[in-house]
Amino acid sequence: MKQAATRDLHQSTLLEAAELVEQRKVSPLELTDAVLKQIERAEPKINAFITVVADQARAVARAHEAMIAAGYYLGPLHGIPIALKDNLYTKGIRSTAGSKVLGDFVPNDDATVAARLKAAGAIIVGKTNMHEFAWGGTTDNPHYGPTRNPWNTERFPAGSSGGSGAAVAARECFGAIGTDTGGSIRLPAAVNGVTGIRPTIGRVSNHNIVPLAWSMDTAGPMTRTVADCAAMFNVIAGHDPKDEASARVPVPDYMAQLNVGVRGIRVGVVPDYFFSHLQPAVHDAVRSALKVLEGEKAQILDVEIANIQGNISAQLTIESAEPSTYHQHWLRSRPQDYGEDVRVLLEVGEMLLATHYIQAQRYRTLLRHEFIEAFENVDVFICPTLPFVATPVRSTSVVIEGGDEEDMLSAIMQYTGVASLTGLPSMSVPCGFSPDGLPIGMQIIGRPFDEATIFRVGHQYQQATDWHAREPNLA
Amino acid sequence: MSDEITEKEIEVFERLADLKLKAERRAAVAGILSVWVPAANELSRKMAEARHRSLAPNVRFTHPSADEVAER
Repeated sequence: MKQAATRDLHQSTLLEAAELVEQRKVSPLELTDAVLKQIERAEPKINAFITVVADQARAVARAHEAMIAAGYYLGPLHGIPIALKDNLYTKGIRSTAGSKVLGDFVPNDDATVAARLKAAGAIIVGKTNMHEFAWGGTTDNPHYGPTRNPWNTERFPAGSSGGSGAAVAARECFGAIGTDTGGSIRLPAAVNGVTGIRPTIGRVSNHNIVPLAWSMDTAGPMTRTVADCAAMFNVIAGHDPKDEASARVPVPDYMAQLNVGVRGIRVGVVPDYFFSHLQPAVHDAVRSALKVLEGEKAQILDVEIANIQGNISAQLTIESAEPSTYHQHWLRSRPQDYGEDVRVLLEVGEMLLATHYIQAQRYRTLLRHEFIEAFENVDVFICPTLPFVATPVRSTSVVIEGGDEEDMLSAIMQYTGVASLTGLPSMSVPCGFSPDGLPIGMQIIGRPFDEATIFRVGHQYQQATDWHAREPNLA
Repeated sequence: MSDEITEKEIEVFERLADLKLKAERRAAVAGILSVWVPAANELSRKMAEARHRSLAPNVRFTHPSADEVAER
């Protein structure tokens, strides 16, 4: 708490704030006011939120304050202000999914994730900006404006959970929920310098979350530290009878296993894929991170995944066909209400063959088998989260190497698509900065339902480094 | 199916999909499909090989096998 005492309240980590609340040194209302003030300061520059519910948040904070004063302390999220991506249903709060199509949608029920966070005492301060319907990686939203990267407001925050990533980085909340289909938690976590985990498919309920691609969708927390992330994950993980794809797998206490260290942990890398076709700063940062873990007594092993090439095509095919199915009615009845980039992708998805889609799903089986087999010899894989640092706002292409411009959508999923297709859990943690001060993230990919080992490795890395503790200057 | 997608072919897809596009939208759709379809066809050729015949599509991972669930 020494560090927290020298900073403003909103600059505390989630668990630092939780400790202050538990010890009754700070009230939920004080925390909420601090966060709302930071939102007022940062939003003109960042635009991370579509909706802020200041009055409701203060009312809830007062109720939690009374509850805690009466001796009812619910745990680390009690009285903690958080944000939710706007594709999560929130009862009584507009939930647009970043779209005009759902611009007036006010749900009668919460997403299960939202309900669990509320039950744990978290205070929702607002709904975050996102790529329209989560179908894209830039958060250049035509209806609510682009979100900007707090580290450099001329740069993008990635996406689709760009608002959640930027809000956490700008200290506008202590944690946020994002959703991840092809990388939409991990990508904004990386370029905004925060931590974010995509869970194993089935680990966290998707009930009442506007879908992008049913077979790959997940929801997970984005926070400043791995420990904060584990605290939020403890609350949202677990079976949900309302989600037919929800898994009945035991949920451990993720906080309890954080401090085990990485001695003897076997870290796999696929050098031909994970370290080819990426910007030098990203390469160097992730290689350095591996050396840090080696210094912590982890073992680094080269691994071959024979059929890893082809994953981007498979992802684009699945991530096109499934959204186009979900949007089939609206694309015909309200095509003008979509932004141009999403509209054309939905049109494209209507024109892929069923055999393309099924072969892509069969490829998932192949790739998953290869990873499951590889996990006999390693405990986690580590690779860059994306091959480049934040590009200028509104970019639709990116230069990775050799001066050639590449399509943003394909390029951005180079590394995240692997975990998305295989259904494996994967977390992005900050691991450095480019020479021009832009954050770089690395991905830790784990066995199915073994998020605990991912948290353990990520937490140990954050004990040995301070990348996650750095803060953007929004002055 | 050829890898090259033309605006004329988009019109055929439109009919198959029961989706009417304005003429000016066809170029954008054809442009993306001309990149994606060759890659999808390459993946389809790989997955159609005899060595992969036993693989079923893995659409959802609702029921992990016991050996896939990490020991606690």
